[in-house]
This record gives sequence, C-alpha cells and structure tokens, in this order.
Amino acid sequence: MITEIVLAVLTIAGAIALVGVVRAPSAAERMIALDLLLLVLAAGIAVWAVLEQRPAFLIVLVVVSLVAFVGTVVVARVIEAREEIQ
Amino acid sequence: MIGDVLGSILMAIGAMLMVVSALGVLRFPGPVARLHAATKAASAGLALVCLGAGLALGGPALPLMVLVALFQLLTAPIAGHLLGRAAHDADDGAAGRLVRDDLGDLPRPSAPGPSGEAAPFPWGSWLLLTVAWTMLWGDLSVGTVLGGAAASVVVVAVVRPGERRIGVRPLGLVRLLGTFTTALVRGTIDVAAEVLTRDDSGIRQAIVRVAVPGMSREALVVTALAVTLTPGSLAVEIDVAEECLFVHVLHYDEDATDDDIRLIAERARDALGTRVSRA
Repeated sequence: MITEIVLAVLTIAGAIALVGVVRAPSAAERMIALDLLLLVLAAGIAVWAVLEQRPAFLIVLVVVSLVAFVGTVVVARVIEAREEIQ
Repeated sequence: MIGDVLGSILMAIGAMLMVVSALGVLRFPGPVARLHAATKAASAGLALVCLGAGLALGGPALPLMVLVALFQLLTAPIAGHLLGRAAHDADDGAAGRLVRDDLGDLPRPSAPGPSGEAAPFPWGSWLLLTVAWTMLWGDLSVGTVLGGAAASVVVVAVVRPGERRIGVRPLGLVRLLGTFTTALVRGTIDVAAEVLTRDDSGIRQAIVRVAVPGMSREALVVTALAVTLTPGSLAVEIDVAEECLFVHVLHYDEDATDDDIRLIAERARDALGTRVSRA
C-alpha cells in the first residue's frame, strides 16, 4: 500500500521535472531538470522492484545512475566549450 | 518485518524530497540556484529511496543499494560543481541576481600537479574497486572476493590512478561527517520550507571567495565536495594555487556565510592532512 503511494509521489516529482525540462530557459537549466528526471526514474525503478518483489530490476538502476552522471558531465563540458567559441 | 517498515519510511521521505527538489528546480531563479535544488535534495532523496528499497528487499539487494546511494552522494557534487561553473559562465543574467560576486570574469585557475610522491601500487583504489565489486554481486563468498581482487588488479594496471599517500585521521573524519550531516539536515529543511511556502524573500544569491590556507590538494577537493553537497552552498571554482574556494550561496549573510564554510574546511583539513603537509 505504502509502496504504491510512494510510486505515485515519485510520478508527481517526475511530472514536475518534465515541466522543468520543457520550460527551461537555457541549456544548463534544461540539463539540470533532465538530470533530476533521471534520478526520479532511478528512484522509481527501486520502488517498482520492491512492489514486484524483483531485485533483478535493480541492476537497471545502477546503469541509469551511471548514465545520469556521465551525461551531466558531458553536457557541462559542451556548455563550456560553447562559451569559449563565442 | 522491521526492514519493511523502516524501508517504507525511508522510501516515503526520499520520494517527498524528490518532489521538493523538482519544485525547486522549477521555481528558483537562475541556473545555479536551480542546481542547488537539484544536486542536494534529489540526491539525498535517491539515496534514501535506495536504502529503503534495499532494506525492504533484503538479501543481496541491500549492499547493491548502499553502493548506488554512496555513488550518488559522491558523484552529485562533482556533476554539480562542473555544471555550476559552466552555467554561471553561460548565464548572462547572473550579474543581476547576485548580491555579491567575487568570481566575476576571473579566468579558470590552472590546476597544478598533485603534491607528494606517487604510491608504488595504488592500494586504496584497488581495495575500493574490490569492495565495490563484492557489493555489486551482493555476496561475500571467497570466489567473488578473489574474482573482484583479480579484476581490480587489471583495472588498476590499465587506468593507473595517480594515487598519493593521504594520511586519514579517523577522529577527524568522524567530526567532519558530524559537521557535514548537521549542515545537510539543517539546509535541507530550510530549502524545503522555502520551496513549499513559495517565499523567495530569503534568497540572496552571492559568490563568495573563501580562503582556506594550509590545505593539501586532496583536502581542498574533499572540502569542495562537502560544501557542494551541503544545501545552500555550491563550490563553483577551486583555486589550488591561491588556496581558496569560490562558493555560490543561496542565502548570503555578511556575518555568517564565511564562517559556515570555513568550519567545514577546517574539519576537512583535520580529517585529511597529507603526510607531506604534516611533515
């Protein structure tokens, strides 16, 4: 029961983050919101694994959190490189 | 049973932190302020959800989830720091939002090489990799540990991490963790209250230059990470040569801000004096 509610709360967080991605005024702000969306997704996978009692799902979460970090670092460098060109 | 209840509570708190963080990202003014909401509350939220899920599932899932939570708490400040400097430089409206800006148009400082002599074999990295491997498998059998140790030797040989001898003082480390946890909890509550009450009057953004003399390179980096993970402050630049940090703060206070950051810095210096700097 509580697990379902937690999943619903995370869905709300994800929806707000998605609004943030769409309405972001700059590339940096879009990346921040997108990173947050990935973290919410990772949390959702963890809660879903509990709901279904399937620990095998958790390995997906490891990959998502790795990709979120690498993605953010790459975009930070892209924003910097763009600044230097200007 | 206890694991289920505790797990549910942790997951619920974590999910609520993520909602707060998402609202903050939507509402805070300017990219660096938004970064404050995204790097701390969301990472703490994910860490709590992971620990909760690990407790609820039990077995090999628990060490795996602890590993993910630790990884998140380590990488969030690194990503936040990188994105923070880039976002500040690219943000044309930054000057209008900052009450004080010590960074201004300063060029990026050059990073001097590491201090101290290189260790002959990076035992620390090797040990960390082996522990991470064992936690990923979630099983403490002889085969797993030996396999992890062997794989770690290969990784260390290929990557060759330039590990330096760092002297760690256990008591100092405990005090650093204590200071840090207090700041984390206090700051999270502050930011959550701000987001939920929609009261922006307390937000006074500023970039402050904090001098942290007498620190090794490694202690300086640890300080920057701890400062960044603490809600309300984000280290946007580290200048090793000048021995200072440039910290973006959400609630600038002429009297208190410098001292708060310097306290974390001093604790980091107590925890991680390198052998070279102590000699």
